[in-house]
Amino acid sequence: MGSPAIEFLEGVKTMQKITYSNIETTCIYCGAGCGLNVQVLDGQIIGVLPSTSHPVSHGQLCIKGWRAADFVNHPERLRTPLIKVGGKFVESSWDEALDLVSDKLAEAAQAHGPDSLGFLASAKCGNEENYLLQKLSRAVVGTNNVDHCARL
Amino acid sequence: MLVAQVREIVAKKLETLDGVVALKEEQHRVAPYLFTAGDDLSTLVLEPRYPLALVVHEILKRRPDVRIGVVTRGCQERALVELANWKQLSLDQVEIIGFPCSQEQAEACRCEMPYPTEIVAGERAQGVVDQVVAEFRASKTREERLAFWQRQLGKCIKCYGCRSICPLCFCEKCAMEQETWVTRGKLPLPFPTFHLIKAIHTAGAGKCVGCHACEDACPADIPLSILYSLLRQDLKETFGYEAGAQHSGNPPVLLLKEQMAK
Amino acid sequence: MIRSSDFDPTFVQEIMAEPGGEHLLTCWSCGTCAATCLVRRFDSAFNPRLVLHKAGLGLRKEVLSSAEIWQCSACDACYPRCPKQIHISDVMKAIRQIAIREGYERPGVTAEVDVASCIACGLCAAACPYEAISLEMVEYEGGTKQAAKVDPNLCMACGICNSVCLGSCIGVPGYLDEAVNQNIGEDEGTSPTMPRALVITCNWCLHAGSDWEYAQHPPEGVKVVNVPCSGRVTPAFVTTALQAGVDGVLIVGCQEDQCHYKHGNALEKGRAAMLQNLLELLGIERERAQFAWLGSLDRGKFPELVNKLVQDVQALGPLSWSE
Repeated sequence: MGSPAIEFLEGVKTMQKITYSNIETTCIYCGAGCGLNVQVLDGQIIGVLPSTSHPVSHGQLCIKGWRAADFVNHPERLRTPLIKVGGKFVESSWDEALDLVSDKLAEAAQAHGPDSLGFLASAKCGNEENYLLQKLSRAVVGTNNVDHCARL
Repeated sequence: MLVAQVREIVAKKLETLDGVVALKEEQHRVAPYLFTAGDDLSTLVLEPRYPLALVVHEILKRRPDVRIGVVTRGCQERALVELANWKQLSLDQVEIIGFPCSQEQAEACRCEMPYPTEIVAGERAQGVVDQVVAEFRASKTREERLAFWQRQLGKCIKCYGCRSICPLCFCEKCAMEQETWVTRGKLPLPFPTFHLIKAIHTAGAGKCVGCHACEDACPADIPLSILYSLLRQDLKETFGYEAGAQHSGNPPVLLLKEQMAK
Repeated sequence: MIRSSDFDPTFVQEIMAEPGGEHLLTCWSCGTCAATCLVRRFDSAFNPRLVLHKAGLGLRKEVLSSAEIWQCSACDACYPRCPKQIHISDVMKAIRQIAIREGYERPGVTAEVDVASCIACGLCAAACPYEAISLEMVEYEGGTKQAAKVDPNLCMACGICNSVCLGSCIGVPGYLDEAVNQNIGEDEGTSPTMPRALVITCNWCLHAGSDWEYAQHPPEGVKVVNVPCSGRVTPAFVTTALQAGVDGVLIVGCQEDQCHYKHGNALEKGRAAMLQNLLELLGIERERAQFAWLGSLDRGKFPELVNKLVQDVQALGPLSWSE
């Protein structure tokens, strides 16, 4: 029995009834919107398969699509917000982090105008997250200074 | 109807197996699924061709305590046998519920054995001799071949789809990802080492069963199976080895035919 | 200085009681084995005549602790020439058994496994000419897992395991992929107008001193890289060379039944043929990836082979995959 089985079994009770299914969803990483299936075994995501039924992607994916679900259980995934204190990142709560960010942004916008702020979106965030960021920038703060790492 | 007969057999098998891997259709979407006792089998379908051996391996890798069936065509059965030869799963944990491909499918895949060793329903189609390599060679001069592959392999975006979908690609440290061999961050690749490694490590090592999952998964429509057909033929002629034809329990060491017999 | 008080007659009896060591005292120290020995040509410190002589005198500690008893690779070039028909490699093995029993550690490099990456497919174990590898539960930083394990007492450091392992999870230190690749890629300032050629040769197939000389000082535009066995050459070395701008590669190994490591050359021949077919299908000429065997009757023929490669490559011109 190799180590993937040992790791997996630690999260699952042996002799438990086995379940495996594919949940179709849309890839979050770009505007193509390829269809992909998230493989779920005993309630845990184990990977991704391309969706053969999808009219856009026809059972094909790019490297980001193939790895789209990797972040979910990745050991290096951030599980709490981090605030930089004295040059080092310190774990904090959502309330603390959100209060800090909104206070600082509001301060800058009031003192120097909305165009003193810039918002940088990322290809490593999902489409939906990037949409929200530009909404925050344009509708909430009131500046067009929003861009994306792909344009650098 | 073939699929109705298969559903009946699966219902029976679910009395003793922990589950059966097959394709499920829901709202016009088809995806692999593990049917278990009590599931509605009217959603079980047989099309399109799919590398279900990959799904079986992913499951058994993590649940070595179960015994599951798989509704499969010939190529996927051979993939499972070859996986067992490379010691990646035990055939004791798998029950094949075989069905044959249609004649059209056999021609499309250029498949010599478009059915598993045993089928639960349907009729075997006629095997097809794979002529694609001979035809390719005959239709092009060396310079034309070079131009053809420069163009085809130049379309590659290194999505690793061919590797990820292949039922026989199971290495944790994949040579295609090593900077020792494959230049990083350059497209098109300056030299097709990426593709040569994939070809040599699967078809050239005795793993490729010719299921065409790689070609199906390639977003750039690269005709990979021409390369793999060549190597599979070579392996058969020079070394007398065919992936998945025999459950030897050991991966093939490719010594020349005379030496393999020892 | 050797003292007669160092002679231990029980050592001699022990060797002769060990299977393979029966004929130790038949040896009359003629030195024919040393003259034939292929290991000795490569490493003059190794002398089979001397090992048997010392063993016959009963110099227990000196013999058992020496590196020499481990260097015989059982090619058996000496056996048919020994006038007393002693199976010398068997005597060496008998002495090794005693050394293992008495806890002497075997010096020198042996293959090592990258356990974290190993998927226990068993190919290295099947390919090893000495059956030195087995699949076992092995402990490593991540815990315990099924993986390849090398018996250092059997491993002859040929590197065949490395060339068959698809993930390069096993190999002989000093001849790992990165080291050989670096050797291949290093440019020694050859003329830009000369086509570049690479020769990868095994240690044992260069039978004449002149062959060795030529390998140390090849003509302009040619690079010679050494590996323990031609079986160590994975096809990826050839693709790396072609990618680096080399226009033609020649792999030289030992002839049919003369492989120093039993079947490394046979493995290489098959793989080279397969690679040639694949390259040809891609539109790359077969002559750019050549394979040749040199036997003991081919002493002095190495320069001929290299010249042929250079001529072929000159006629073909530079290989350009990406314009």
